[in-house]
Amino acid sequence: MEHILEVKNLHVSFDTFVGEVQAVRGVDIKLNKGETLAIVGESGSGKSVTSKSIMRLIPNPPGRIKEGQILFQGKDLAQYSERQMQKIRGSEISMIFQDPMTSLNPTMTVGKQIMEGLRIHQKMSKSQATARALELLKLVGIPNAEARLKQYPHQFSGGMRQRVVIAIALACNPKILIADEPTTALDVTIQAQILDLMKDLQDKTGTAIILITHDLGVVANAAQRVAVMYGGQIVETGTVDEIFYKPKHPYTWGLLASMPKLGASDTDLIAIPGSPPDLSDPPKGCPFAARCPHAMKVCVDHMPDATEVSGTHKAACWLLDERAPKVEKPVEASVGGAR
Amino acid sequence: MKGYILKRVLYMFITLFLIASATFFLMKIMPGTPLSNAAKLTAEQEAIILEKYGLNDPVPVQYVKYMANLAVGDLGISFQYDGRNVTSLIMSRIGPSAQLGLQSMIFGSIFGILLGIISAIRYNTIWDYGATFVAVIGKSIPSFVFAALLQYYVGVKLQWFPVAFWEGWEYSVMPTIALAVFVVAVSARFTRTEMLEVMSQDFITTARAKGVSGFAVVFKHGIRNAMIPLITILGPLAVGLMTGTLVVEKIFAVPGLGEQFVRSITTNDYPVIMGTTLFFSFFLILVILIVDILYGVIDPRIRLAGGKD
Repeated sequence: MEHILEVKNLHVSFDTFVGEVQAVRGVDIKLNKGETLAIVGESGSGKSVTSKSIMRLIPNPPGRIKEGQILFQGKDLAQYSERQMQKIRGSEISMIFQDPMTSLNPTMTVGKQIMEGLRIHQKMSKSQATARALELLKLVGIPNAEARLKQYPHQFSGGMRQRVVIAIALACNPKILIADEPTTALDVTIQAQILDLMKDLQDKTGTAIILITHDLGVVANAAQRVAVMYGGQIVETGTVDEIFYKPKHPYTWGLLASMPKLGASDTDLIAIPGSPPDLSDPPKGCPFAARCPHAMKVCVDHMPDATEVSGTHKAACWLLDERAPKVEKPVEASVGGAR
Repeated sequence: MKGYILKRVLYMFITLFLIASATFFLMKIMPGTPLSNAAKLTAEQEAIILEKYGLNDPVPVQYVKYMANLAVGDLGISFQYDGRNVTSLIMSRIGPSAQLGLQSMIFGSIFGILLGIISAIRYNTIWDYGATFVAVIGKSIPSFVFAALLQYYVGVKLQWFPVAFWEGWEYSVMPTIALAVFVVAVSARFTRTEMLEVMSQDFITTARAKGVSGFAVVFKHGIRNAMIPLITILGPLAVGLMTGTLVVEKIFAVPGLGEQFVRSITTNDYPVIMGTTLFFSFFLILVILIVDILYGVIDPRIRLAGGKD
């Protein structure tokens, strides 16, 4: 299978007044053409920083890519200049953001914001761009598109704004769409609509999607493959079925167990005890060791290498070592989630 | 929108009426009469003159008379300049003041806004510190100090521009700069703060993610959203500058409105005091109205709220 994007050993750090914060520590991602890869993890796990680094949207200073490659169609974006990146952003790789209420310019009409990318990248005339913007608004399911084009973001509801954001991102038919928690700020019913829309558009355009989320329910419905991030590293990656039915990493077990289940009472809400590691002083060994119920001596001192479970399934955990005691996933995780 | 403006104009007249009334009575409380300085007059002559100008009437009667004249646009006749109409007196003086004000406003705000933008996008670098230094100096040192320094170094030593008087455009250069320093400082500080705020917002990231260049992000997406607080302060500041800045006009011997205003107060020239105050108030209210309308032009969210009104 051909990889459209390959991130190799990516390290991203932020220089802050408390010292260097190593937000991303050696991430590898492979994205195939036309697939949806979900990156899952809790707040501070480095998933947003990873996605912003691919777009080179990390403000520098304080942020910087310390090490690693971001290979897009064989070219390393990590070495690109700002000017070169401007040609990639919006035309080859696009991004949609978490909060549609703040991600649109309040003083510019929706039409202009959609047309902006078209005029920059495809050098369209005003009338061509208007026609394309109209087409896009219809495509993302906004009724009365002609009138809507001349309106401002505050005249749209949250769900409608996110549709506009998607229209902006898809304007130039990008090869990759990075969706950074696209449904987190929306009502549950609207979440489902937006996810369906993204799926539908992917079928039509063949765009590969990186879906950043902390909601496993979203993952089950929208993605083919999953990468689980923790402490700036990818701890487990596999197909949706592998992650949901045969997870190997204790952190993934914890994530799955903490999903609220239909029919369970409030008191059954399960949390992973403890908090994520301080990345200004990252642990020497496995970042999850401090919270892991199965942690061994080796976990604290040495970071495990990724073990191949199957051709598509990898996990970085000492429990997978042949010398480790046999520990199985404690509770049966149910698939489905919020939807 | 039309209804909104009509309503605002009505309020404007009510405000002007209140200002006129308050100024009128405050002025009457001031010690002395218009003749206090004219020592050579006999008591009899004084009585004749006071009678002639209606100053012997009870204050409420004078008030009603003045307001009646004001209602038809008559600002009265000056006491100190023999028989000259106050309106024409103000009009003959407004030219230099307005020119200085306008020039210093345009030059000061453009330069200040640019400085503020540089500060914001080069945040916490030597550029930012430099611009902040200029702004602090401009705001804390009074304009007459700059005026005196300019006169000495640029006017006397270098002889680039005339030191004083008002005989052509080159005479306006130094007073304009002296007045603009404050405008530069104020607009640079505000622009910096607002731009920092705006540039950290999500829609700026959206614009960058679209592939918009850094320059276009600042000028197409940033500035407009930073404008609202800026015009709020620049509007009234412009009025103050345009209707005469006393000290700078005095230093450069510019025949402007500010200079005349002070003289009318020291000589108890009631009609000129009233006229100038009302003129100034009228301008201020007008500018505030224009600023309010501009809010709507700049920010569509405000436009709609006003339209429904």
